[in-house]
Amino acid sequence: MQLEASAEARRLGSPFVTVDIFFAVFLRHFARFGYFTFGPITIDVRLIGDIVDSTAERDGSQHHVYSDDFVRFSQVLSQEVRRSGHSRLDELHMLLAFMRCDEGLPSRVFSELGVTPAQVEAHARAASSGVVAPERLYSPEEAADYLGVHVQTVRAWIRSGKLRASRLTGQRALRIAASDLQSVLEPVESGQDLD
Amino acid sequence: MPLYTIVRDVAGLSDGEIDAAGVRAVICAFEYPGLRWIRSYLDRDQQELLCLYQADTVAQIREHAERARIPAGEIREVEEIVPHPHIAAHGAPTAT
Repeated sequence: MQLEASAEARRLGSPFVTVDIFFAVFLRHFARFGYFTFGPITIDVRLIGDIVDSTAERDGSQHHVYSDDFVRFSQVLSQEVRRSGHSRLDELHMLLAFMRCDEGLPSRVFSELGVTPAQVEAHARAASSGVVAPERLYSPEEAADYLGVHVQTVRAWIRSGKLRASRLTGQRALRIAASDLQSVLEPVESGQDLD
Repeated sequence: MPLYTIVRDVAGLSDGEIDAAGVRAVICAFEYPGLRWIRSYLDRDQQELLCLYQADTVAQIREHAERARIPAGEIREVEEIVPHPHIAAHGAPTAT
């Protein structure tokens, strides 16, 4: 992920690896189906990427240093590691540090979401003890948008049994679990005809 | 892989800021496949960190420090010498 942050700064031509760039790369790294989801948090990763794309400072630089706000963020992050009592830096430390960061895009996103670090820590504890919050559900339209196919294709897959779906109790509305969307994806083997 | 000691002037930095510099050093080190932070020793009297790194070149260490925004003073290439196994196994001689 750290390499991706560097590559992203290079792609943007930014002289700095900023908190915003690091945040966008973090979300993208752990996203599934275009969304970063962790307990009470769901973030549209493409939207965050677009914001970073349109706001990043650019000078065409291929040599970037960590920005002042990243230096401040690293202090929050190190406090988070220390507070947890673990010596190894992990993704939960980063997520909580982004939530406690009082500047930049992370601050805006988490204040709009209204989710607290305590809620995320409670989810993490529950997840580690095997009690995991329900995963995100997609409507056929959302699933089609994500997969880049027509909504009728999604409905046909559901009818044929290729894609598992459920109905909301007492309604006609269909919902597809994020993990079930994987069932219509298959890896391309090397040497396979791509036409 | 060459070993280097790096003297980092941390005068005026709090323990939290030194910790944060360590976090940046780790994150930034991923950009340099040949670079590895082995360990550091803090000299509170001199307000210096003495860091031991594996790296390809001195220039790589300087670039890593510049990007991660951590100080880097004198850098020396060094060789590792570990205690002789016999001494390590039996400890220092004691008076009888």
